[in-house]
Amino acid sequence: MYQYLFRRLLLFVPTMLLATIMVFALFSIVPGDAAVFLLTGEDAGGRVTNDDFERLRSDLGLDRPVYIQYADWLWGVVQGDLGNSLYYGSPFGLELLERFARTFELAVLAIVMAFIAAVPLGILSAMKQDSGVDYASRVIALLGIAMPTFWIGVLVIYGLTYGFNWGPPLVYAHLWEAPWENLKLMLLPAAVVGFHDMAFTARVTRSAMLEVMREDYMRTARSKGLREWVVVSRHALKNALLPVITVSGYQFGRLLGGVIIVEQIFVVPGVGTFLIDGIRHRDFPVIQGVILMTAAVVLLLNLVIDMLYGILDPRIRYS
Amino acid sequence: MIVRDLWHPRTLLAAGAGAALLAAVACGGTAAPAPAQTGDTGGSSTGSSQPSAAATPTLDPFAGVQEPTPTANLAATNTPVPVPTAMAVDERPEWWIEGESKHYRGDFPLVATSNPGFWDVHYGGSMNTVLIPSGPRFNQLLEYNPVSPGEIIGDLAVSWESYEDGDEFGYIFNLHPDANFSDGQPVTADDVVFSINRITLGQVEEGVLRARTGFLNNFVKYGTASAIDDKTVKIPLRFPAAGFLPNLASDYMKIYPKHVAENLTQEQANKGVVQVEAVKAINAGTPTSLIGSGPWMLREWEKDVGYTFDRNPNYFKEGRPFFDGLRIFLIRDTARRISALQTGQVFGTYQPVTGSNRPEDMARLEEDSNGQVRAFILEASGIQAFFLNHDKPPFDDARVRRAFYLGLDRDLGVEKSILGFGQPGTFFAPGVVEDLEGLRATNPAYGDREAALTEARQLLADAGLADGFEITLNVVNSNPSLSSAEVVAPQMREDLNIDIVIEPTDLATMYVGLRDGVANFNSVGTGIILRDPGDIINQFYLQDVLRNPHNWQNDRVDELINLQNREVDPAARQAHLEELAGILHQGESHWLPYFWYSSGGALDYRIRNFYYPATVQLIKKWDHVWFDEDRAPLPAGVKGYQP
Repeated sequence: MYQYLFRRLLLFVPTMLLATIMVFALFSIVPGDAAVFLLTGEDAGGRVTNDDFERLRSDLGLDRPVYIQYADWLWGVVQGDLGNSLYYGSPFGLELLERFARTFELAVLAIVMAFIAAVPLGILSAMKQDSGVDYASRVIALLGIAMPTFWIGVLVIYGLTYGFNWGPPLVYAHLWEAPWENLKLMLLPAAVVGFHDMAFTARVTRSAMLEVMREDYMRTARSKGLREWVVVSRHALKNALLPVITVSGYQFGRLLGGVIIVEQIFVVPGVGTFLIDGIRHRDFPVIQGVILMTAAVVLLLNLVIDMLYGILDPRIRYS
Repeated sequence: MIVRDLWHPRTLLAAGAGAALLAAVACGGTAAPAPAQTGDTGGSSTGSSQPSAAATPTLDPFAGVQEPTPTANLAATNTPVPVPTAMAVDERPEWWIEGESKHYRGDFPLVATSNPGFWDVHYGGSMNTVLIPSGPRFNQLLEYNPVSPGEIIGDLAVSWESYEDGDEFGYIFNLHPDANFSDGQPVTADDVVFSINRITLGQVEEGVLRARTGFLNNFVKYGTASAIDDKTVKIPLRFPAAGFLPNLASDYMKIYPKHVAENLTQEQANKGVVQVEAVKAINAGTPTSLIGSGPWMLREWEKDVGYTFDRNPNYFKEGRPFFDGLRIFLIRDTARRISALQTGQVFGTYQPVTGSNRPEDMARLEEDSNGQVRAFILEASGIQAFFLNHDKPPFDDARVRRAFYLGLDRDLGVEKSILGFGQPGTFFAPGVVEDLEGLRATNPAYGDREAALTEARQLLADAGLADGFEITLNVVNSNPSLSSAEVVAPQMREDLNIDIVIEPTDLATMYVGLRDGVANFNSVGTGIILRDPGDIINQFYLQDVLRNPHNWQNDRVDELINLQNREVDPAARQAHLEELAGILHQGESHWLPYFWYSSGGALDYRIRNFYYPATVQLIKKWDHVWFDEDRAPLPAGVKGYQP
């Protein structure tokens, strides 16, 4: 078990390294750098000379060969320094910390909402296969999968605006300082994101339940005279949850990377907003840092899920 | 139904409902079939993103309006008029007194789109990320009159006069006796001298960036400004120049406190530090950031959320500003921004910017809010143009460049790309040098399409390109750049057999492609700071500037640039500029204007005293407007924002 854990952790290093190299390579292929944005701005006016560019590029260290820039950044990472944001001039770690907490909260809320809605829906759908309830639940699930979250987000905003002349708060309040204000801002985007994830999870739950319910041990359980809810909850659900947890874990990792458009629509100052600004500003340390963080989170979550498998299913042993 | 209606929120909601129903039907559920009408709407909506010959081209939200329109306001601002006899120090016009009586007790909410970048206005190069967040903290010597934007009036200066002393020519400015910085120190002539020297420092020191204040180098030699006494400053000019005062009045030309700024590194000056901490550090003798003399002081800045200003209680323009605080929310998403305006969460947009606040969206917002939120549409705030690499084929042949100039259907661009919110692209701001109607009558590129195309085809044939050619367009992936590319590509293919492959990129990539000559054909929209022709010349026709990357040059153009720069007689300067425009209209330069576009913004109708500035870059202090809660709703027939 520990050997397996160690091996998996060791594999993190080349995976993350590969991710950063790929991002860096892509980034260096595309022309343009932070100096251009800093000088021209979004409105692209003013007299800017080529010398101005070269000076600023030099100030930012962008005139060095690409591999030197990468090596410099990597050496910093090894020492625990993820570099400074080119746009803000401040340490990336500091910039990320607070934003990550907000995105983490959004992701937790979304995944919890999705899970709470999806599992009963999936079970119900499986139990009442091909009934009206099953069709309705499948329709809901398909809608959630088919409609992109940013589209649902815009519809929600417009619906609230034109239907109720109301908009969600514009100011982020910290969860521990003003919980109600915080939830007023976070619940809607969490519900929007959660709707999408709920749909997917509900479908996985349904198919897993259908598969499990055809197993011999289910027939045995029923023939023992157990009540249906005991059969479902104790025998079927426990076995059907494995793929559901895998899917939820994957979704949670994805959410932690930032729900870019939804964060923008609902004015949540999280990692997604940070990343999209980083891309617009050509802020290389920010993009690399966020990618590195996302890769680490996804890898870690995958590992946690794999470990959970062993707990949920005693037949699975790692060596 | 016209194209814009397809993007109406209600249409989107209907389309969403339609999509839901269609999905339900498609997945074999039990939902009823979607009504045909709803499905049609969704289908049309999808198809509307492509320019279509059948689309209704124009949108005139102010059709039939008898009241003053944005155009009318703009017409009055074409030529800035310096007003050297400023009002007496203690004189306050009626609007000032009225504004003070309507003082808003609380933070006044506005919406902007970008996080602040650099907080040093001398240094930074962007309106959105530099001027907007930082500008309200400072004053200039002069400013564009916020209630009559065509005039230049004193800001820190109460009066000024020109002088001649032998070969020397310049201006003497008298400073306001009560002007103080927000740490209580008086604004003195030394501060002005320091600031002018700081702005022009790049003349003597390597590595000094002055992205939008560098214009002053054309007029002022570093180190020549001097203090006559505490409140009087002399600024000699390199030569008598009509463009000096209009540039000095630009919102970028801020006066900094010498006792603070001279002790700051550039990195410190670029940082945004809240007022309390900034003053504490100054009082401790170790300043860490800039402060100003302006109407507002930075209270708070939370990245990605917004920033807030406190009113400067000791502002020398007593009684102003007319709010306790100014709160700027950062909302990047257009739908959310419109929602915030419509639901009254914010009272206005901080600035009009095309692409963020599209004029058509603002006009529709006015309709949807039943006139509560008023659209203000600033005409000709930016120019969409094509950059031709005159160093490489096919545009190294002047005949091909002129063929392109002739072939562009500018009216079509205005109609399709920006839905009528603009006008055909002249080289200088509309009405300043060229007369569009005159051009239509005399220049086929603007009038007689058949004649223009005939000549263009002949020019291409002469250049050996009778069968046309294929070229890739390096274009910014936002509107109106992208929408203009979508219009010009089929038009040029049809008219001149020029096959344009559109390659959309982000702004940074586009500029690098342009600068490095990787792309031979480029397109980007550009804002202007001043309507003065010097702004266009500085941006596009000087050597070694970003927007003239391969140094297109013409001897007579260079002569005329110098002549107009030095000319103080407006009529004589105008003659030079008209000759210059005539040369550029031969269509052989590297830069070909397509259209001038408008910018949109919105204000609650109860905001009073806001007048249309000459460009989006001017009048950014928000110290002259007030909120009149008792204002009666505007009559139904009145369109647009009314001061």
